[in-house]
Amino acid sequence: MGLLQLGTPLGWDKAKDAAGQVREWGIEQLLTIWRKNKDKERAMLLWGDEIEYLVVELDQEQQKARLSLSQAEVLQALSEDKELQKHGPIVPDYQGGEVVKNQATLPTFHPEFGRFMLEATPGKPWSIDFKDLLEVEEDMKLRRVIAKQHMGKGQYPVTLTTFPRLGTKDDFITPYYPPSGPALRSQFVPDEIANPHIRFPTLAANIRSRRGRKVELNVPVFHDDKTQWPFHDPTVNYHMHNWPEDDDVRNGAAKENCVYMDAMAFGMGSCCLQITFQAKNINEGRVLYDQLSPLGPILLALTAATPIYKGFLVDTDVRWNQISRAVDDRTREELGEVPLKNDRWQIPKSRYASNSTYIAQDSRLRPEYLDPNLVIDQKLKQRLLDGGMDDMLATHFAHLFIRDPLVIFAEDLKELDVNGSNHFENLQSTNWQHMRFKPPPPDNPNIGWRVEFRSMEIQMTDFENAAFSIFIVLLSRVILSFDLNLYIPIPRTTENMEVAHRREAVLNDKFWFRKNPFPRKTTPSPSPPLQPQHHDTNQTSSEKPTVNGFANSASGAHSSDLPPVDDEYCLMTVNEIINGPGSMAGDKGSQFPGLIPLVRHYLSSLNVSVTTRCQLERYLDLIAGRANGSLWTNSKWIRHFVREHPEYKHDSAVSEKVTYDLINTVVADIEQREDWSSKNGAGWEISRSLDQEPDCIAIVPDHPQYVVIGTYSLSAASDTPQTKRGSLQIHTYSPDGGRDVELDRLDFDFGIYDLQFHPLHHEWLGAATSHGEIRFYVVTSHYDEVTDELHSLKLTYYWHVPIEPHSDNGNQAIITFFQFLETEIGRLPSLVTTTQFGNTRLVKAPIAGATPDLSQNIVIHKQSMELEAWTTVAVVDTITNQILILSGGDDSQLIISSIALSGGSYTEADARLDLTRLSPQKLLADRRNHSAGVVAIFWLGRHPSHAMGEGTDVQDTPAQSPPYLFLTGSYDEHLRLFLLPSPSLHDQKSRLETIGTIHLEGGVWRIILLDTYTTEVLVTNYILLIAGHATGAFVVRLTCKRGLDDDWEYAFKVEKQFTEHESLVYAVVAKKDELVHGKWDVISTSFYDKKICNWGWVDEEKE
Amino acid sequence: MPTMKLVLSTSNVMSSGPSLMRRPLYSKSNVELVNGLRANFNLHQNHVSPSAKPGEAYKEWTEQDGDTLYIPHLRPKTLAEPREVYDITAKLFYLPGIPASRRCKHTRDAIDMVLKELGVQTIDLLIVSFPGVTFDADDDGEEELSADEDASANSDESQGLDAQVKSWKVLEDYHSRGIISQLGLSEFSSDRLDKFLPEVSVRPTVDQINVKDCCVVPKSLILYAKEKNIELLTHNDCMDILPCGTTREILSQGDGGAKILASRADAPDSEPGLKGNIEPQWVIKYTAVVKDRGVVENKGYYAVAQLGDSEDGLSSTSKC
Repeated sequence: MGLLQLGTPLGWDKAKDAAGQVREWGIEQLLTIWRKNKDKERAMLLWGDEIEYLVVELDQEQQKARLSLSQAEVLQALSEDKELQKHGPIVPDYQGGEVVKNQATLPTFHPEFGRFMLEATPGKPWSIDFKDLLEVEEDMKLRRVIAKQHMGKGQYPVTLTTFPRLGTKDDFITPYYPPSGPALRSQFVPDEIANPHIRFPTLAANIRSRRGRKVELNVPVFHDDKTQWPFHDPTVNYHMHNWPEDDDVRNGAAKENCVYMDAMAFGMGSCCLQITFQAKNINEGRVLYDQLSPLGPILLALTAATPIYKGFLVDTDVRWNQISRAVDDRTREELGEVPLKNDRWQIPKSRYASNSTYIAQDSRLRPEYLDPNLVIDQKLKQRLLDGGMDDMLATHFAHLFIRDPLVIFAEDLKELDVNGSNHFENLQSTNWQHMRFKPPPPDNPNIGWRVEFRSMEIQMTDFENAAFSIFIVLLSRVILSFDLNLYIPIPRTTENMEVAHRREAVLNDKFWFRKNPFPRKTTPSPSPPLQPQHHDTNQTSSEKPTVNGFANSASGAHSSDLPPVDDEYCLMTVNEIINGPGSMAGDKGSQFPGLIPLVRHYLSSLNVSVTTRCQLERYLDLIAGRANGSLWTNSKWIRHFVREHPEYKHDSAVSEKVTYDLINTVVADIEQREDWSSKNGAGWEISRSLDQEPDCIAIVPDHPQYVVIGTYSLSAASDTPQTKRGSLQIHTYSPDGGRDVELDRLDFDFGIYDLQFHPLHHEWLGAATSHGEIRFYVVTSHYDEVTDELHSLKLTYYWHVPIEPHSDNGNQAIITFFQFLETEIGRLPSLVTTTQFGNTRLVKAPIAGATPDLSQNIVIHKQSMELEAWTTVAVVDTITNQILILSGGDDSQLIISSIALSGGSYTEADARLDLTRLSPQKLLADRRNHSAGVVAIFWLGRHPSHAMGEGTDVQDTPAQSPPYLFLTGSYDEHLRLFLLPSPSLHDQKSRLETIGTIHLEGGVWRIILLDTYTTEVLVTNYILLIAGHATGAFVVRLTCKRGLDDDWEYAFKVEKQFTEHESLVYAVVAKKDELVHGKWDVISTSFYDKKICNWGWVDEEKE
Repeated sequence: MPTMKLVLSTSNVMSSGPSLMRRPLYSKSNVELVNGLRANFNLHQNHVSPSAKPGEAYKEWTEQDGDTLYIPHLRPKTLAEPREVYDITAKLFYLPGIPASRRCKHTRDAIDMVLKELGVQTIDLLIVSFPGVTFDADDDGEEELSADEDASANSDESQGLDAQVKSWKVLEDYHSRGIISQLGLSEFSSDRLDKFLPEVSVRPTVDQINVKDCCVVPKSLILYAKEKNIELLTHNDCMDILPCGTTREILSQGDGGAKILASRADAPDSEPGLKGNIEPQWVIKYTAVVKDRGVVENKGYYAVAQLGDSEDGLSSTSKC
């Protein structure tokens, strides 16, 4: 929009009279542009995306989110930023001037209709170069960061389509203005809601004047359990008498069971994701316009993001029709409500609607596809034909030009600038169809014919926005490469657009779509067998030769040779359209191969690097997941958020608090959830850096959005003795979560090696040190007295337990690992631990304040040559009444010891148990199975054949206790599975055999069990998270499957390898994602580069 | 029996849609190749005049030149736009069981076919696929691999390093003459590359990895490739791109066959169709992409098979 252009806008009474003149002049300008550019050949694909933001201000004190009318201030701040200016104009509308080619790589920002909106575009158009494609997401993130930097305190750029409480009775905007102004005359929003540039209020006012009443938006309310029914929008004021239009509601404008809205802002205040392509020439542009058109409704359903209007959950999922109605300037005559008298025709669609024309000169375009109810201005069409334009394109523009120009500047009516485009654009840019065919601008010879894809809803995260943008770009290349034919009759696309509005249409509804997108097989023809390709037009340069130069059968053929049009398409689910026929479809049903398989096939025909392909797969996975239902649309997520909110009363009303929490979640977690919907979670891989080397991490049990990280730093000055330093630091789980909470940190002159919270006493944090002791800290939470929100987390020293005496020459042992014992004896913090001196110890720690009792600290066994003991695990086996203690060390040995518990079951032994009276017995010391140090042991418990609840046929007797499974990890880069036949091992000194193994390059330092479940009958899944030492982290699936004859098969599979670390990974931790079913949010840390990485993985196999 | 060379071509597979995309979708390129051949043959068979003698119909749409039979006859299509707007890539598959001694000639034949088909003088990137070379992401850097490799090298000279280096020399020649700008390999692990690179004078700039592994390429290979300036690209081809049974089937008399070959090598004279053993020799895939627009304008395959006993009398396992 040429915002710099100012003038005297005509009120509707005058504009009405000038409409014909503007249309005629517009047509003249179009003809000039068309003549100049119809033979233009632009080799390159260039494309651009537009991201629109709401500016929302979060008021923490009042727990309220408001729309901020700060567009002008933000743009001003952006345009005055000296740093940004070095890269060229950042707000071209303010600063003027051409964007310098190849120089302005920073994004640019633009005003939009709503005064609470902001639009951002890349600083220069993207190419098809894959390097460009991979920059899109980063650029979108950068736009958000730059926008945020130039906003006021508490203001955020939010990519929700609509503000949930736009038009409510409270002060939903800041600064606040009362509604019912002269331009909009809305009883819900003030005139100040719109961009004050004269164009916008004029547009709104003239739409209202032309229409003869206010615009009317009625959206069916979502009928929840406690919604009053029938529903009458309680926010409608029937007693307002400021303007004649206030009668609208008294005349029935507000419909039953609907949320009623009455202003342009409710529609044009929505954020969209629009993609514009530059075509090679006018013909390619016309082909793309047609072929992308049937995809509009499909992409609308896939991007559905609009479940709330004016504070109510609604029963639709997308914005489209609301915008359509918000700018619907049709009179009662045009709408067909009263007979035609003054107006020229009835018009079936709003100016904002699905498109009504096909424009390609394409032999495959059958007349049956065209809209039979298309309204055109015959006189203007004739003028275009006389000017040399072909019928198809003339029809298109003669259709757009049935509308009246809405904003006319008096100055423009004096003289026709036939080389300009202002009058043409006046009509063109106020026809908001879901595709737009854009002629080159007369003032920039470098720009070619373009096609805009306009139906998509903006997505909450930049990952999603990038995914959909890139998907559409790839699709356009697929269409051209495969010469796809996606034509269906236009009225079917119009229907599809309506279907796309339905709640969860993406999963539950079917859309008209063409069955076979490929050229029809040729049938034997009696004419000379070889016929050169023949197209209706002479524009062959844009056409690809078809197979062997045979005419594709539709070419030049009579319609009578073709199957009925209705046989060419059928109803399909979005999943079928996107992912292709499932295995169920068999050979019947549609032949449509699916857009994603087509894109993949296309990509496989190009030279694409492994990293690019892997990245692109993330985007394709998002689209595929949306279509098959494994990933939620934004709309579903928002609806779910509201309905699960404790304050939601199931009456459809979305309160201020719910809105605040919603926006807060979106804003606070935007980066964390940067790919909350990305299937494999390859997406958000964000790293933070620490000031010291991290080597252990634990989630704070009572505040799982925080973690404690233990560090260990060695100063390596050559001539001084090594000094050790370390710290305990509390951090947020996600890189930017939990703002404004004060997080504690303690620094030491020793290193921290291991961290565990006590399983029973959640606030106790044990920390293994390099000083031969385990220290206990307490994490305390402090809350704000007023808001009752978490204010700070503090670490307080509690007490410590000496573990290993220093060596003869005074060296202190590093405590390499410890584990609290199971809960039965947890009344005192009993633990097993390993030390640098090779000892595995069982320790009963005294309670705080008591003198450490060294007698309650016994060595269970020792690694050979006193090499480091690295890890241990203790298991209480109540059947054989023993404690099994396994440990591994740097000598490659795996040692298992047993402590028999005499007299009574162990659970009764309680805290008075005297460790000195126990006599550990070494059962076995295995050094055959590992070829390097054993550094991790994980106890999986009973073998699945003896799983609890299943053992009806197996008697657990002391003589025959169940077999157990455990895992080891080693420096030798293998993860191994062991079966411990029966822990009554003192009878049978059996050899330990590996029953499963997987090579994990880099080593296995830590093993965490994330999940265990049974998928099909007798297949037990263990999901393991592995700190992979030298090569990052792994998610590994272990399956144990019972064969037919009771043979068990054990298999490991790497589900994901996270390779972003550039140093040793010692610590991993994970928790379930609250938003995405089956998703795990993982943190892994690496040592020398001091990095904390957040990433995700989705378990797709879990039901 | 005299031998005959069969030159099979798919023409442009991009627009032959349905046969191409039939499931398994997004699968191995041998599906694309085999379906592409079938579709192209069927298309031509559809135009055979009704009066053609059974068993002879193929002569209407094929072309014999000496002992070479072009199936179908060659109708090269030149590219629509000037050469420089395209990125032209070809991938040459040496097939398993074919003596490496033939590769020199095969390479020349294959490159000539592509140049002729597209009407160009140069190819931007030529990738070769050696039989028996598969990259398995899990095994990279494992000791066992090289042991296996040695074993197989001993058993089949065509799969050994020597044969690969020798084949590469032919390509280096094309490179030095400016006909091929860049050379590439397929499915080479870092171990293999490490052995291969010191032996050659023109280094590969590309190594293709199967797309299924694109997100799990071992770091060792990534680092190695970076160091050696080798770009790791993805492909979706299968190793056994044209088994000989398949070749016979698509050329045979059966339903959907091209009705050129007899059903068996030793079919009686009464049976229509050409007799003799069939042995696929090589396959080349070519792709012409409009660089600035990302449009694949032409993609196709040539495959050459030998009919009858080979001249050098080597018995090979790839015959049927």
